[in-house]
Amino acid sequence: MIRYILQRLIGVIVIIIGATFITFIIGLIGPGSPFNIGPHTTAADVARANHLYGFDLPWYQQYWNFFTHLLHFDFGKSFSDPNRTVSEQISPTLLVSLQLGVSALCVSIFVGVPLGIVGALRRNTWLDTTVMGSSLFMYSVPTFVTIPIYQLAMVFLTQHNMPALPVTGWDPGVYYKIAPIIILGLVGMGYYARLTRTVMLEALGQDYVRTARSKGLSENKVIFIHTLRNAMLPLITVIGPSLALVVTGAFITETTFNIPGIGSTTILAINNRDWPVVQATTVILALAVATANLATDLIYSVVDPRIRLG
Amino acid sequence: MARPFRHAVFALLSIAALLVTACGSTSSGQGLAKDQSLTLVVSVPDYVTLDPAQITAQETYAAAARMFDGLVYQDNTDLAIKPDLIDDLPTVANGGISSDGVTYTFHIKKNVKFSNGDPVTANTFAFSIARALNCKVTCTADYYPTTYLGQIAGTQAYYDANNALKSSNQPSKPESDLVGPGKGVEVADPYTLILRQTKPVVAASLFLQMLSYPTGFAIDDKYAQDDPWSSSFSPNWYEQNPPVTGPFKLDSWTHKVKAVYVPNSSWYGPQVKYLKKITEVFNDDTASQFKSYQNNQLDFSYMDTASVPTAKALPDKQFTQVPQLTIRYVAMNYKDPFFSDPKVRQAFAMAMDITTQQHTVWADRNMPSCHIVPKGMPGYNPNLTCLKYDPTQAKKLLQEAKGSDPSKYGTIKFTYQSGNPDRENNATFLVNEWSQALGVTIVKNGLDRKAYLQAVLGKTAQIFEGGWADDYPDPQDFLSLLWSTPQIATGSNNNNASVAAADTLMAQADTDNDTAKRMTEYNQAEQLLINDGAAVPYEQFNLTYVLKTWVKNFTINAGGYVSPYAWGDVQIASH
Repeated sequence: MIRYILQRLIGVIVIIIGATFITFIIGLIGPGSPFNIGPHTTAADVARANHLYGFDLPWYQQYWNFFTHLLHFDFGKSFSDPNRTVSEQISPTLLVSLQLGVSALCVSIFVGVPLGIVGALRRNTWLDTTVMGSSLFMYSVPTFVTIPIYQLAMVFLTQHNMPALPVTGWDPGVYYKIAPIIILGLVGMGYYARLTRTVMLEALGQDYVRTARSKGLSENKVIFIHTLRNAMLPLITVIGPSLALVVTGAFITETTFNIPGIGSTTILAINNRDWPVVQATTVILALAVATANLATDLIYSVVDPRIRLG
Repeated sequence: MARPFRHAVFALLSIAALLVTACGSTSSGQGLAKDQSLTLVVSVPDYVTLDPAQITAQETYAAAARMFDGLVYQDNTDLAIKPDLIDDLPTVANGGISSDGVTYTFHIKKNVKFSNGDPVTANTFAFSIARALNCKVTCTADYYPTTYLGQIAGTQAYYDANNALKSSNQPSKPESDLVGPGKGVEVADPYTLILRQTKPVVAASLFLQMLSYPTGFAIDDKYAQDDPWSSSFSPNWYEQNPPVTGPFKLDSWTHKVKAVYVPNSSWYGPQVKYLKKITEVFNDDTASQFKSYQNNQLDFSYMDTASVPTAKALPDKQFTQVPQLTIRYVAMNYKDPFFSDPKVRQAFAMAMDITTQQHTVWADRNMPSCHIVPKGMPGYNPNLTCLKYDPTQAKKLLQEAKGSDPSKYGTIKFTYQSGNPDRENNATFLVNEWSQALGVTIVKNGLDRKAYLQAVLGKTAQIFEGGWADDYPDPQDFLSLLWSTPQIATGSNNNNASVAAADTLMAQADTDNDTAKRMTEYNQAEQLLINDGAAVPYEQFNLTYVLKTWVKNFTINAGGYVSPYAWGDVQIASH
């Protein structure tokens, strides 16, 4: 097990090095200057800025400098906002994304899984068709479609003097957070509902379930103790990566709702050629995905003793 | 009898209530809302800085104008330069300007204090100007204090010296290199500040205009006195409730979410009578801004072009357009072999139907205009003769210059900033106009902002779209700074335009103290530039916004912000 963990940790480091290297190369060869070039910029200004940030060094030296600073968790200074370090800029946005992502994942699981169970237990009934149909709809309609529809609906309510939720923003308190969390959560909900239904149906057909029923166990025990527990294994496999993806992949939701999360920060940094910020977010995203996958593998081995790692 | 009595009492109470309500009404006929807070949108993802010495963006300019003061300011209505923290505007007549136009004496108001109680003195301004020019402290890649303070003697040398030290561990050049008896900045007594030019580099009116830019605004020397260029000095001091002299002070700033301002009771000007709070919400997406406005989350918002018809249809004149001192233009590179001939440039100008362009692309949100100096700016020339839309004449001119075989023209690249549907539509419209009228093969070269700036400022773009907003209301800002030959070397003349006769006129006007003659010289120079196709302006920008009917006495000036003196009567009516 320890050997396996060490192997995976080395893999995580390789992934991060690879991700930062690719981002670095893209930054190096991409068009446009990273600096806020304005109408009064002179060649001397650009040369001075290049010197300040070490862009006049050979590329391998630039990358080495970046990497050695990274080992001290020093992402350097942003080009767009040189008065604040990259860490100062990213930390609050990461917290916002975590808040959004974890809450949305909770909505996905706590709504999606029960719906999947209902669908499996009421297989091929109108309830199953309705639940699975709406789940498929939620899963297949992208957020850049649902969010504008939601916004138009809220505007309609406001214009008719009816209570409405905010259409943009991320102020403290629950009021501003309800809609983005639910909308982002509904996408995952559809996925979890469909996955749960499939694995539940598979588990319900297993011999041990038939045995449990023949032993006269109550249907609740059969479903929740024997069937669901075994059906949870595939779900655990996807929860970890889902968490990483929902935290790091809510780009559209964050941008459309004007939420200051890491997704919108990354997009802005890419547009601004703010490579220190892009590098930092890349490291964080790569780390999040790799760690989530590792955690999933470890939990999987704990939940199912038949699985041996290494 | 009891029931009629109760009815009568009820009726009397109702009338009394109506009277009380009426007595409490404002002149606008509505009562004041209990919550006197105003929520505005600011079209950026976040402020980059609120340090007046580093401000370059219009959005932060508006915030700086709300919090800080300078020696002079632009009036909200006529954009005239007026005294801000000084008693009187210096003139030759009152002895404030020396007869040779070199020395300017400012008498600082004696009763002005920062919000923390510190007094504003001549030393405050000496410190603020020197700090702004200390590249070691304030320099960023897009920060050009010498653009606004370079008229003061010694500033360029001081800036360059500190610029050279920027990446070293050596301390900055001392303030005394710039400030002292006989130098560019002199503190004659605690309330008298003298600024000098080495020679009349710019006209007196222009000298004062340039001081109205935030670069030279007063910041508290005591607050930042702990060696601002030491490592212990916080570079983002302005985030921590900085002492201010303006009508509002910063209460809080949540990055990428909002900034909150509250009235500054220490302000020397007319007090803010009603407003208790201004919240500026950061949102750079105009489409979602407008939805937030419709959802009553914002009192003030901009909009995308697609939403203009909806905004225009809002009741009670919520839709407002304010002409701005901002132009958009097409420029052709004088050093490009194809565009080096003035006839080619004229042909391209005459192939542009700017009225149809404005209607079909921009939903008439801006004004079609061929003027370099925008309407409303001192020096605007109402009699300017444009190169009018005439596709037949345009084609003739092109054929005279390049022959009648379009296949020999090659492929032309029109560079513009992409990423916005309006700009895409604009580029498509222009390219179609040119290809249809002139028979040229021209392709769109849409680049994102950074790549676009690199192409344009690198002076390599063949033909490109550009824009310019005023730094200060003087024609020099639109003419000499952009289209004079010396500006090719220093950066602002991006299409290498060079019109010798216009150069001579602009150089004269820049230093001429006879205002009428100066404006005539600028008018003539502008005409020469237009005739030569140095620039082909196609619109003057309108600030297009919506404002809730309950916001009263709120006016935005042609500079795109609310003047510090215009906040006094802004109020929120009950709604």
